[in-house]
Amino acid sequence: MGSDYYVTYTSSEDLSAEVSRLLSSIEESFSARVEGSVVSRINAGGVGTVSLTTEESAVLARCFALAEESEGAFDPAVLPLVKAWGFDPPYLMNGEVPPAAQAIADAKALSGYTLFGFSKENETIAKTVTGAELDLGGAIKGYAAERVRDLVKEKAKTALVYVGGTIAAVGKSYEIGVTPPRDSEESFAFRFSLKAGEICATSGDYERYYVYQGNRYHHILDANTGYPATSGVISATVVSEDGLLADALATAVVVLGAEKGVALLEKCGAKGAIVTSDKKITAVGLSVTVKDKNYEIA
Amino acid sequence: MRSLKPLRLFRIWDVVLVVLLLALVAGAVYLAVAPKTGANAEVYVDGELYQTLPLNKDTVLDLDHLKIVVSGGTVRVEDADCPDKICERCGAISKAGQTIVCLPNRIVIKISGKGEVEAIS
Repeated sequence: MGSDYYVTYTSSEDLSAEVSRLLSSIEESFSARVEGSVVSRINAGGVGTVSLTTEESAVLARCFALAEESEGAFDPAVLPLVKAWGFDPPYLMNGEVPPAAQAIADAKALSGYTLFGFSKENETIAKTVTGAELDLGGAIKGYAAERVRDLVKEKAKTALVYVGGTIAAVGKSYEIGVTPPRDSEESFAFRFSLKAGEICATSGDYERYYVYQGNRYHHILDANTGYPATSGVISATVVSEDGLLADALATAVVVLGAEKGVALLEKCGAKGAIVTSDKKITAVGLSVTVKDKNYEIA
Repeated sequence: MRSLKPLRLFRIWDVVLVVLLLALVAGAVYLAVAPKTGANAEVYVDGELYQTLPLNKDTVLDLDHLKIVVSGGTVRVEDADCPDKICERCGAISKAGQTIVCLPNRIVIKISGKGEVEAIS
């Protein structure tokens, strides 16, 4: 996954090999960093149409639908910008310098889901501009958590599925803490109950960032501007039974800001908790308990 | 001739008092520094709980592929034989809910604590 994962479960069966196989197959299909994955093939190729398997088509259909729904706040095609800003692995978090304005403009011209034509009926994707590149990193952990949830729920009474910070609850509720987006004595800023079947994902400007000449540059890039999002949202947690949606919307809310973010969550039937730079937490359909005294409910 | 008595700077109760004061200071320092709430590092191998290590007891758990070191109320991984060494680079963790994952060796170390959360997003 390029991410850490674990599954803790109560079952008489050993599910670890199956879980590991499933996650590997998802990575081999969708990672932009695995040679031969559909995403790598699309990225390496020039202008043209690529045929997709039914699974690839289904995942891309959901990603493109969410890109439209969020008006590009979640965008599965911003890899040129991610690379320009230095957030493509191996990301060192040390000594990065923001790119020049021209480099940002060049990368922006190659970024955006509208540069691809996706056809669900034909199960194809067409690339219309050479150099445009997909990166499903903002949604694939949620998809993986959802697939693992569906696999283990058949065999385990209860399970907690963790894929790089995206978490699924199986068979019972689990208490989940959300990472404090700024330095803290506490291991989590607030907590909530993730109910059986639900998946939560969190995105924030604190996960990957660098500071250059006093300015903070983080990895959640707004394809509409070409720059890191400056919406005032520093962390967004989204809860839904749809893992891919939860993951993608967590990114979208950081780009959109609190007000539009709340509207998007409501429109998509998702729950969540949005933390703004004034350290206020806006809960959407979620009951949260604050742990870190620096934060308060809005 | 008068015999000289040795000068007794400390009487027995003075010594007792000093010892008691030192014990009190040591206790206060321990309470301030020692990990609170009796947190444990839970070590999972292949998704199953393998061992629970109290964070207030310095110890080394030598597994086949890596060493898990509990020291000063924190836990960290050393000498991992995996290629990426992401687990070692996580450094020491001590707060409830924090985890270190060694993916190649399928080992998870998770800090548990009373009344805390079960995972961190």
